[in-house]
Amino acid sequence: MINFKDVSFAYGNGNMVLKNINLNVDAGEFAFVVGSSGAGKSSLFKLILREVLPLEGSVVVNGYDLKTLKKREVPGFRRSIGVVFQDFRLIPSMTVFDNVAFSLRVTDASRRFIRNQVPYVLDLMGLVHKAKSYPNELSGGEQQRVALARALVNDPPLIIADEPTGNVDPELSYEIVELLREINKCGTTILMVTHEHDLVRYFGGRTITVENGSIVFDDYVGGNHESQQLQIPR
Amino acid sequence: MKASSFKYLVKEGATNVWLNRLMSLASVGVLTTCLLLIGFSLLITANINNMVDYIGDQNEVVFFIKDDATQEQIDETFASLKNDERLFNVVYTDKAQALEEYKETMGESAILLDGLEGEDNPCPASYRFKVADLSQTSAIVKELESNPIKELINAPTDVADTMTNIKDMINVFGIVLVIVLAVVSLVIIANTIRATVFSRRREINIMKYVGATNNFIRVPFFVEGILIGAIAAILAFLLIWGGYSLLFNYMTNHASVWLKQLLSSIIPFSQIAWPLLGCFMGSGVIVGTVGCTFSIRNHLKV
Ligand SMILES: Nc1ncnc2c1ncn2[C@@H]1O[C@H](COP(=O)(O)OP(=O)(O)O)[C@@H](O)[C@H]1O
Ligand SMILES: [Mg+2]
Repeated sequence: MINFKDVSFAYGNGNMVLKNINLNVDAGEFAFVVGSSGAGKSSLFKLILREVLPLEGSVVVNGYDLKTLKKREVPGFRRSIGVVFQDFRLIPSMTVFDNVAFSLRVTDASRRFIRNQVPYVLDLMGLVHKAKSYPNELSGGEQQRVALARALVNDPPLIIADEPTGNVDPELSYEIVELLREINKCGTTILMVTHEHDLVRYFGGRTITVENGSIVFDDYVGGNHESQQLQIPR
Repeated sequence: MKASSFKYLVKEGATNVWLNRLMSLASVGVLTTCLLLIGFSLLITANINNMVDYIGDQNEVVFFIKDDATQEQIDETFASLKNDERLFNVVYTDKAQALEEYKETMGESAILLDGLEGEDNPCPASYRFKVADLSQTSAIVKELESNPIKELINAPTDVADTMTNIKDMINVFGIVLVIVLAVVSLVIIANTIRATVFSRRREINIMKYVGATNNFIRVPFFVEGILIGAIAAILAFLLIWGGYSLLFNYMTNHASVWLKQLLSSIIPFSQIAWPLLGCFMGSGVIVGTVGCTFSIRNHLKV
């Protein structure tokens, strides 16, 4: 699903941001990417989205080799990934419904399909009653659920999220991750970047730690909530 | 792209004009002002040109014919003048007619001229004509000087030269003014559009992340550009219409007799309305769309 081979990357100024990254995420996995601020997590994220290209090595995502991917093929490639950002990135002039519908509209989906699919996904996220609201009328948690709905609506095989809980009240963070895990149970591969160790400790699972542009840890860790059957804090 | 998607994007573009109404207003304002300035400069230039032509047209060239010219020579020259495409309103007046006309101008004293008909008629026969392009008057007169039946040529060459000079000056001034205005307008408009697009770069960025093609993002901006251009064109057209009519009325009501004569040569608005609207629409829409396309390009690279 995601395959990094000997990838190194630097921005225009030449400082190496990622060094010799080897990473493989298989279909159906749920993986956390953790690491302190400035470690290079978001840069990894940009490489997956082909917002930037690696200096060396190869990146293959959803079967697309990003190095040989032509410019005009990029939109098609991006439709195979659902993206969630820390700052939600909803279009302020569009209603919740239209924000979610937008990622279907770019695929030339029929109006009929949009009319059925968008309410369905909003319902999964518990947002049906907010369909006509505008993003600025929603709380952070609600906005992030809209973003999740948008990422989910065209049923991509892969969803990647860069600190999706960063701007959400701590108690609602668990809800967001829980939703991602639910989506994962239906077969969608999920890669979630975070620097909140509490979350990772709580949920557990595959954890990839990035430090100073290198992967220093990549293994499964047990989550509290499995061993101790904790309730999700409310 | 499917027709239904296209319809959606066109609707988006139209909605965006309203949603971003402050920016739209700024763009329409700038574009309207530019079109107004350019439109008025063109109109004034065209009108002054027209007036100068009108004044020039009042001036006839008179070619007096020698008394000993044969009828054959007279007919021949007349024919050649008539066939000359540079001339119009070519009229031949024979000696008898000339005497009649002279008598008319004398009024009461015409009796003095009685008995001068026939052999003793002192009035020369003549051709009268007007020159289409005043600047050619001197050249034409020069050509005719060598005609064997020429007695005297009376031509307003000074007036012609002055008029030609005035016209040239006005035209050069008008063209320079319009070019300067057009360049200034384009710079201002380009900046306005760039600001509009810049204020929405986040939106464009988000669309790219969701997998929108460049065309998908462009179409609404395109529609916005067209709409803003068209609105500005119509506004400018209406304002010029109003301004022109007001000015025209004011001048006809407050002008001296001589000026009134001149005002009859002012181009009526109805005559230029459609071409003007067409030009405004064309340039408004082109500037709007080209401007959008160019300023959006940088933001599509993500
Ligand atoms: N657009 C950019 N241009 C240059 N340097 C950047 C850019 N974005 C991030 N960096 C640098 O790259 C390094 C890794 O940043 P980032 O990937 O955002 O880290 P993280 O997401 O883990 O906090 C940092 O040192 C940061 O300063
Ligand atoms: Mg980051």
